[in-house]
Amino acid sequence: MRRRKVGQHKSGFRKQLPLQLFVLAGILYLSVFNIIPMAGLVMGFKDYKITDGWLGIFTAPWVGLKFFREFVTDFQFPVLVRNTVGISLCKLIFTFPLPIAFAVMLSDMRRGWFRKLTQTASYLPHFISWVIISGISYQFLSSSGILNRFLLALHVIKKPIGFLTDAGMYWGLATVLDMWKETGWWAIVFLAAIMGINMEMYESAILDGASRLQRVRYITLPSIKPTIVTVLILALGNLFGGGLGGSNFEQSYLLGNAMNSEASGIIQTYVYDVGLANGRYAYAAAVGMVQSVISLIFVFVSNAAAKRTAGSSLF
Amino acid sequence: MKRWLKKSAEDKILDTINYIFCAVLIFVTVYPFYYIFIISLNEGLDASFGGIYWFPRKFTLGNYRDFFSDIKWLRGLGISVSATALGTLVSVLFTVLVAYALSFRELVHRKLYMTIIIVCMYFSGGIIPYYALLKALGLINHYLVYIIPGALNIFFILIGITFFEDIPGSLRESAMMDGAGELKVFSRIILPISKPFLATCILFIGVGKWNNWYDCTFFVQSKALRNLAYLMMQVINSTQVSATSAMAGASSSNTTTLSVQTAAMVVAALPILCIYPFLQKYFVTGMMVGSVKG
Amino acid sequence: MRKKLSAYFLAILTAAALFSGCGGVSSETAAGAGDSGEQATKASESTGESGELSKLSIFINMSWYPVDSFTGKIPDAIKAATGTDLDVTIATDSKQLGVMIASGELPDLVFSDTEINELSNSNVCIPLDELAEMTGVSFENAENYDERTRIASTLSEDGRAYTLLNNYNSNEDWDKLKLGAQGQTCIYYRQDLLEAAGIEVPTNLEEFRNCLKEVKTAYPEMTPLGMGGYWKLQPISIWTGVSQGKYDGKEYRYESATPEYKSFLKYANSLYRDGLISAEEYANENEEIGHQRAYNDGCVFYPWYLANSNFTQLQSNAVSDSAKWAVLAPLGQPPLGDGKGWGGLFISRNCGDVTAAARLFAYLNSVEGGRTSMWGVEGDDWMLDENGVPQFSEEFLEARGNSEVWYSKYNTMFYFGASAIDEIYMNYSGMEEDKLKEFSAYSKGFVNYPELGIAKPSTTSEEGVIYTKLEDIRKKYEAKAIFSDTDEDFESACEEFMKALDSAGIGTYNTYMTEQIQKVKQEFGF
Repeated sequence: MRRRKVGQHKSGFRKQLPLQLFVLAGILYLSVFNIIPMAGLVMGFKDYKITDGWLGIFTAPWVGLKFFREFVTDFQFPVLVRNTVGISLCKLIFTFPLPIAFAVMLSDMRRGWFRKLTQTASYLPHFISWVIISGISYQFLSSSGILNRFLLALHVIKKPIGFLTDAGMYWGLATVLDMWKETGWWAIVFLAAIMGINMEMYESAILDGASRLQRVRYITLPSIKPTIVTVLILALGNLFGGGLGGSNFEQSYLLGNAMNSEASGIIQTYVYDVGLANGRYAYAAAVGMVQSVISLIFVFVSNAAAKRTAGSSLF
Repeated sequence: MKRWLKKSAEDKILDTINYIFCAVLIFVTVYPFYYIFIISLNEGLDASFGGIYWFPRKFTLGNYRDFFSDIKWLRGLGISVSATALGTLVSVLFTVLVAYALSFRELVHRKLYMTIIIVCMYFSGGIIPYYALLKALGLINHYLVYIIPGALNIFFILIGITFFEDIPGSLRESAMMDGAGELKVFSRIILPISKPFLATCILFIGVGKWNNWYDCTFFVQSKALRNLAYLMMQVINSTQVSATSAMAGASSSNTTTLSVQTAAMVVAALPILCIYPFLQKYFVTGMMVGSVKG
Repeated sequence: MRKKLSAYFLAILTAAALFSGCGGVSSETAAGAGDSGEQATKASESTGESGELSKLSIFINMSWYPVDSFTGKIPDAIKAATGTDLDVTIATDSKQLGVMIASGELPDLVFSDTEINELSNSNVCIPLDELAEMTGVSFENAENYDERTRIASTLSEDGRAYTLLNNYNSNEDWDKLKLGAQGQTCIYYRQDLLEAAGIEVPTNLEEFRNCLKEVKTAYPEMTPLGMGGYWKLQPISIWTGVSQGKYDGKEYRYESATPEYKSFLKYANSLYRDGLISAEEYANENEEIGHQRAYNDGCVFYPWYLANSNFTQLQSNAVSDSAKWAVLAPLGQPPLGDGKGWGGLFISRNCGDVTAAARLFAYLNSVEGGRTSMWGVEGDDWMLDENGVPQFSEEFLEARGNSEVWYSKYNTMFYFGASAIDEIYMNYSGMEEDKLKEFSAYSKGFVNYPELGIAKPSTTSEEGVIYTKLEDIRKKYEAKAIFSDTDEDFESACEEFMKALDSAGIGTYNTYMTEQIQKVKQEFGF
């Protein structure tokens, strides 16, 4: 790595001053609203009681790694980790490519009412909260529900499938529901990226006789590669904390039940049940820290890997 | 778009697959939403018996009535609309500005900045320190608590960087040679051609703020500052009887929790669905054509 | 283009300024905003006789509360008696109270059934003895004052009482119960369906199993024993004597490791293998869905909570006209009561008008206040008969069956000091004779062991954490055992269950509880 001479550094900074100021405004903001509260993370190493107020975060006695030990030696720990990572991976493998493919397909369609309708329809499920989905899931997915009756009528199955109770089905159920719910919404991000591609490239490709699939493969996808890589790295970072764009907490909390708990219980739901629901903020902070550290490691590792293989990276 | 050549056989097959897929997709996405919509227009108790697929069986506006029963809803709506509009404006501009600046790979200290940003994305001190901070800044129970915290969206900074990297540097250089400063370049040249990205930011960030009941729950005590999402949560919660309370009261009524939730969903989603078509026209291609030649 | 943008921008800014202006102004004068409460309400201190009402802000930590304002006939009566009005905020999220405590931003009053140990802290709330000193208001008129004070003092680290938990009665009170029954689970059943098929009503668990089998043959479309939401198979577990196995007066054992519990699991498993209960219904956590099945002829027997209102719900929402629901007489032993009270009204350190708060607290906990909060206005809505049981007016009874009218017209939700028996009489008095007999059968043999409830550790203590984990394990493994398809599966599930309990610390918990219970018994003289 070439090191710049100090003099160059300074003048380079000054030359970029306006831009630097833009960024520094952002960094300052983050310092105030994100970094300062991070001091509270020290809670995870202390026997913190809310009755001591927020100052108690600093005055409470140290307990070292007690909460971390409690978390890691809990007999449920292996199952929780397996479920958390497993569900996230399933979602990554199945729900990650879908918005990209869908966005590509949309961009290729003729502009008109049908395309608008398709796009608008596709993100409607995003607005249906998990709470409502779990509320109506019984009607659709129970053994006497619509889907089972439909499949039975078509003689595809002989006995109704326990979508809601079978632990083996949970990962599949969670993934499919997530696909349905978020594909259209995430496609918007990729669609925006595709809209930025220079039309001239397409025009010259067509002149060269490229087919549609070839145009997608050689122009569209490579052009949005940076976007894809960015979203992918962030998604990998969220493997431990949840799926793309957020956590799986709500989904597991609402669709999980006593019968499928072996497959649906994830770290977040456990921390909620044993931690936050009982007012154990320090414990929750400790486990949150574990998740954050692991997520960060994933991000750095996948960033380095992306740089090497895809030639594009987050930073 | 001009049709260059006659459609090949491949084109025709692809088209057919596309259209079939889209038709299925439209059904699979529109129908559940429509289903929830008619459930919201049906008496809750009756709806829980199932069997309603195409039209409400016992039509009622009762599920919505609780949402518009008194003046507090109008105020909540006002707060939500203005907070969402202003908050989205501030947030999008700030986020996009930072993303633009960070898109320059030659930016000094860039790696450091990126590291800070990524760390901030994954680490959080939790709600108690955050509350203490907002309190110290005087934001608790103030209208600005809807605007200032959360004004920087890290995810969109990162996505924005990839968008801005695609813009040829020649655009900026030629403008600066004409004597324009960074801010002018940003607002006069970069922003207008970033419409799809801006539209995406506005949509995602706007929807997030519109549905946010969390900030109101924890950081607002005054009844005059309550927003729509919070008020709706309250209505939904009040229809659930706690199974563990020793003193649960009478609970026979026609609305069920689900019916109220569906009505809340429709109320929350409707504005977004109305606004989106306006944003859709910004998803246009060819913004780069003819902008830089030679 | 720029002009348009600027115009929009200006418009939004103006709107925002208007609203922030509103917000700013209101947040200063609205009672209930954190620290401004002190300034605002100090000004309106009143003696209660001048006609001016003191306004106190209150946070009710139950998100399911069906009311959010201090309005209605009963609140009006309370206002008249105490000179105090309440500005109510209902919780939306369970973390709210914790954040409020940590930030010191509580309103004047808090009513909560959770985090009561945290609230019983001198930094957070005012203890009753200090309150009495400050204001000269005496709380000794409270029903069961001595016991409740002692119970409340076990909640705090400094041994002072910061509240009086409601919903409590001493065993002497319970002995004098004239009608109705203590809160517990029960099974409702379709009397019409049993009669139509000529099936006899079972009187014990063996007969129950046979009865379910006959029901299944007679009505193959219905689930013989339906389930829904929280209660699941609790009545059965109680009737098999699981709670008795928990505590024999000396030693305490967490119920899932007792032989009684295993026999419950075996019984439930046999129900499953005979197709008498459904795994899916067991898994369903959504109460409404469970109820809906019951309304819709989905099941014949339905476990739920013993309450007049629940029964009325089943009966009035039943889809078929000939449906006739009844309460199944208990098939086994009654549950072990561990009631020490439910929720408490706390006066926070931020309280702007402690005199008004003390007056309100004293009133609601007195016999008169407790009765008013649950029964309405004496003479108008109710009158005591020669047995000491309130007889209610027609209007009251009618409203009781209709939740919308009930809450808006009467509003019994400010029951912060009412006793359990107050509530029972409110629910059951005025019921028709034979129905009342069915319900009252559940009070037979019911004994309350307050020491069990008092000894329970706080949720943030070491033992409290163990308890949470034990409950978590029970939820998961109970399902596994009950829904095993073969005997081997059953045995291995039970083994795993016990191993998990061991690793979570059940031994520590049992020892702790046994010690604590002995301590409490000595202190209180139970």
